Amino acid sequence: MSVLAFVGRRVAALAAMLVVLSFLVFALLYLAPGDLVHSLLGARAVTPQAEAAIRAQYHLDDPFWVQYLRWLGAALHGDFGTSVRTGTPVAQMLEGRVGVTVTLAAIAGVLAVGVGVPLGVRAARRRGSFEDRAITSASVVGVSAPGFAVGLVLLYVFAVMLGWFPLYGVGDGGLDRLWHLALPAAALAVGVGALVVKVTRTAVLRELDQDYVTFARSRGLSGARVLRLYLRGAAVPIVTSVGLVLASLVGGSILVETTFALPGLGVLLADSITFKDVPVVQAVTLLLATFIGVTTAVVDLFANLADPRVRRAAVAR
Amino acid sequence: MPHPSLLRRALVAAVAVPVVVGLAACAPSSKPQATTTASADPTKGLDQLTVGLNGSLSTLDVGQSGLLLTYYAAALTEQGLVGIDSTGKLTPALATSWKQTDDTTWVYELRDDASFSDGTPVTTDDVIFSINLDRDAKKSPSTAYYWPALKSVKATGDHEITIKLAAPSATFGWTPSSAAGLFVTSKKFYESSGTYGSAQKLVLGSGPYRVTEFAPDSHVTFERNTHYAGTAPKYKTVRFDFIPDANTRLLAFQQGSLDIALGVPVDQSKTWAATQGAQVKAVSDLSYQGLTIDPGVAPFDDAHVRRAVAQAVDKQSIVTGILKDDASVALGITAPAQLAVGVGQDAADAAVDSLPKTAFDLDAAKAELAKSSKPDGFSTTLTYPDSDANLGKVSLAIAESLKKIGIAVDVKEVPASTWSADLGNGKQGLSWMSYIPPVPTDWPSDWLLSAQNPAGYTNKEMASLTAAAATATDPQARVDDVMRATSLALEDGIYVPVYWGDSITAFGSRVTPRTYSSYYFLTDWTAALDATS
Amino acid sequence: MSGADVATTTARAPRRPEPSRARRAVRAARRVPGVVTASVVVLAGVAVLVVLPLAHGSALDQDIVLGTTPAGTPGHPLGTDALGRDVLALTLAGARSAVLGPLVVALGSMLLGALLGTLAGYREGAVDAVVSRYVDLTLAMPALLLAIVVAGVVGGGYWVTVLVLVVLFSPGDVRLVRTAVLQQKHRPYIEATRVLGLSGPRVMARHVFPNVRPLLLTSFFLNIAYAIVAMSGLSFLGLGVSAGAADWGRQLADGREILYDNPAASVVPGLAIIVVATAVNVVGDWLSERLDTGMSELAEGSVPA
Repeated sequence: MSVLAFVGRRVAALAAMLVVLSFLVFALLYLAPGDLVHSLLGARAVTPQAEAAIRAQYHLDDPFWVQYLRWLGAALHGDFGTSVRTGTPVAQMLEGRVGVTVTLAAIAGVLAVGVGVPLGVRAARRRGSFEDRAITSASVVGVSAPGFAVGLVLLYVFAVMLGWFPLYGVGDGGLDRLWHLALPAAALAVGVGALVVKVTRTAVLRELDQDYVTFARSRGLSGARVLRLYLRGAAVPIVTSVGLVLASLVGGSILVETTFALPGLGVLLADSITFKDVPVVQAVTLLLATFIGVTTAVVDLFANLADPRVRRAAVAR
Repeated sequence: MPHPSLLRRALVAAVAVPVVVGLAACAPSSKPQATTTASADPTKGLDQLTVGLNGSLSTLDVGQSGLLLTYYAAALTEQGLVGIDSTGKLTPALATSWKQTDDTTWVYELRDDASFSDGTPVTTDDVIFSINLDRDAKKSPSTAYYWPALKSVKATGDHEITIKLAAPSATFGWTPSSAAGLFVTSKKFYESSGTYGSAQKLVLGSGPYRVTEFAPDSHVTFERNTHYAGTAPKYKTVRFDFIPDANTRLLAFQQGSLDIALGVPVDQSKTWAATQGAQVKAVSDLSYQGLTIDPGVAPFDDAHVRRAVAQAVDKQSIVTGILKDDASVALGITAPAQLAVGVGQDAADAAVDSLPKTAFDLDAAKAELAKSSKPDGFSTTLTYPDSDANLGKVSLAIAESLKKIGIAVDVKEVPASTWSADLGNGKQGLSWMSYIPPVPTDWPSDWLLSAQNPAGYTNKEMASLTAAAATATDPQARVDDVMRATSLALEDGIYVPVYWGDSITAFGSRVTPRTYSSYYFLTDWTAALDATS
Repeated sequence: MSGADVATTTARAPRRPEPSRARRAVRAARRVPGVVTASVVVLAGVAVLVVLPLAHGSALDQDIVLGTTPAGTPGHPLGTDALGRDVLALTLAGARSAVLGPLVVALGSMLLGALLGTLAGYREGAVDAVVSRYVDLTLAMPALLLAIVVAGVVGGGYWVTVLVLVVLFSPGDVRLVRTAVLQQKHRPYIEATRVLGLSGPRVMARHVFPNVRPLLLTSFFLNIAYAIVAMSGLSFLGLGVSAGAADWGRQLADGREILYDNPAASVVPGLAIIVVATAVNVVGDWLSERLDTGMSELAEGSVPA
């Protein structure tokens, strides 16, 4: 039953947070430099009539609260409005892009975790060895390499020299889409993979130090069983960090999207922010926030269930 | 047997060395690479023409988004009453002929066989609907800019339209063209679509191509319009790929995936040109880049300070060193390529030559500053938009020159929308003006020398000259008025023109452009593009 | 082994002369892996560059007529950038801005994380809920928007960006500390301290926190690397250093266009970022491991000191 209560609490907390976030974002956009009138008309002479027409159309002269509440009222009815920059309804604008970004983040997440966790475990088991140093150093290099550089190197090696992958674009759906997103996902994964490796390594190292591992080994339990034992103990910090990592993947993909010419949420968000396209910025931000909120809730739930020490704390709350 | 860990190390080294050597050997060089890979688009003859754009589109509605690239896409699919040729002169489009019956009245004869790409005929209703749509500041803020106030627009015959202006206009001939302010679409289609130009609804026009697919921020695909009234288009499909990253675009071009690539950066044109069979063409993009000095902000209210700044800018070195001569030193505001549309290139060149010139002379600049209210120099800021990397480099070069005469300039990069919103805000003593007219009739001087100029400069004579130029019916008179107004501003040191930019386009081995000019992509350009293979 | 046995064994073993200080030092040094030594050397070099920038004044002058030249040009071993500035001089001068800010970011994030995470983990309940929502909010906040607005309102600049990054980096550390504290809180030895009547904060500081520290240290060093890259990313938007200042991130961005004329202009600062970030992490890892093995006995099972 506590799981249900937990979920209920988190959903309510998420809803409250979304409202607060929407207000903060609205306020930030209001304060941001730039001017919708000039963004729409370009850097040229603006006649008073044109300016008045635009200000009237987008209610720019209404007080801040009126503008915000108008947006909130519509949003609560599911109407996120029309993009100021393109005149297309916000829902339509998000349609294709959400798929691209989510697929990209998913592949990158699978790569980062699928390669990072085993590497981290291996490094921990062979602590202090050349292999350990090599793995940690390699992962740190992956972190320190600036995003566009990784993307460019991958592009050059795998798309141009070897020709295994396409150079840019999203492909035509299904398998073709996966083929097109493989390289950009790899570029993204390199950046976050290091964190996964390090956290896994540190967490596993700490478990390996514990008495119960020595005890299990000395009792003759097979290597595989011992592995399962200490992985279970290391699971909580690993999952916590991986959860954060996945959440950040969805919001941090803009450099990769630009290099590989992908129509994703990152580019949309950046363009909309500089244009002060409030409806789109709000919708994308709230979407990302929901994703992050759900991810952290799932991670916390897992931590509660997997680690009895933490579960007791959660129940006590 | 050697220690296992040593063995492992040797193995790693054995693999790593050839990999590294191999990568080094395949390092990017300027050797031509014309190999196509498995990922290149299918190319049977010239079934598909692929163009790599240096930006991306989120909507195809030109009225909504005045980006130059939107115009390029619209030029393929929608027509106006008239069009332009490569010299910027008017050509027939939906109208077969037109005449001006008096100062403010234009009469257009429409062709009777024009249809939209869905087969429905183009009627006067559609044309009038489109005119009213495109001049409505609320629905089409971008194109409305080009429309002067109209007294009336009506159908005066089955295939005749008459437009009456509220006042004479020097440039109205170009307004109802797809190179300025008119993109004729079907009234029925527009009203039923709801979101014209979106990925779901696309656009409907009577041009040589129709849009079959639009993925915002990814690509647009066009197909031959079988109902097109003019000569059948050469290429079966045209595809615009949005590739904002210049290095990715270069790689795609070298690989053979792109037939045409726009926006070649100035520093890379040699590398692009080294691709086998490539032609890289630089042509004036009609843009004006120069410093604006606001005489309302101290210490720039002192004429000596303004003059000192003008004399401290080494325009020639900037054009040769930073812009690699893919630009020209700006002698005035409106570029000669634009002035030439009405009066011919020779007259245009002579006109800008007659403007007052300021030579680069650091000693004279120092002396001028010594006479001013700030003989020991001062500090100021200069911001540039992040959309133009060249402006950043030029800003730093100018800052270095000004440092030598005692003026410390803090150069800052800001998002393009911030820069554009700050133009003319009266708070910047020194600022950049970068004006890139998308269409031939959009002259920077119309704004910069008007009463509402962004420099906050009051000069009644200059303002009235510019206003007169706007209604002048004789092109030469228009040019003369603009030149006189420009001289006034330059003498007062309000603008320091730095350079007139070029756009650099790369054409691959499969195509060659005919009559390439500044207006190329606003014309019926697929008809002026020959397949060489 | 009982205490008596130990005493007997030691008493009966022949006494060897104590190794000299020098010998002990050499032995200790040999135990340090070569990679770590190399990293220490790198970081020492960077520290020197930060404190006394070796290149300044005329070495950073432009020469726009010369323009971009490749590495190996006479007078410019690493070539010049688009404005004719010497790449080597620029890279040396850029060390300061590339390293100082990220250091502060990682430090600030660690402090904020320790503070809020401990608070949330220890107090739980409403405090925890509020802190956790702050974390989620900060994660969801578009970094670009925050950075642009702060720069627009306060005026941009290097340290403003640092401040924004501290806020944006903190969620990771807060959650890290919070989870670790929650894990430790209910262990028997902590409950034992409570039974003994020791005060909460004292328990946190002396017993819970040493277990949290290794994770936090690891995160600190990783954050330095992330922050170096993040600051160079933000300089793409004009946030961070002024356009003309020497900064590895700026050099990286500016060098993209001349990649084919002088790859060194981008590659050298890029390598500098990678090398420094890697060195920081190698040294940090080694240090935190040493500290960890030292502290774990104290924190784990022994009687509270």
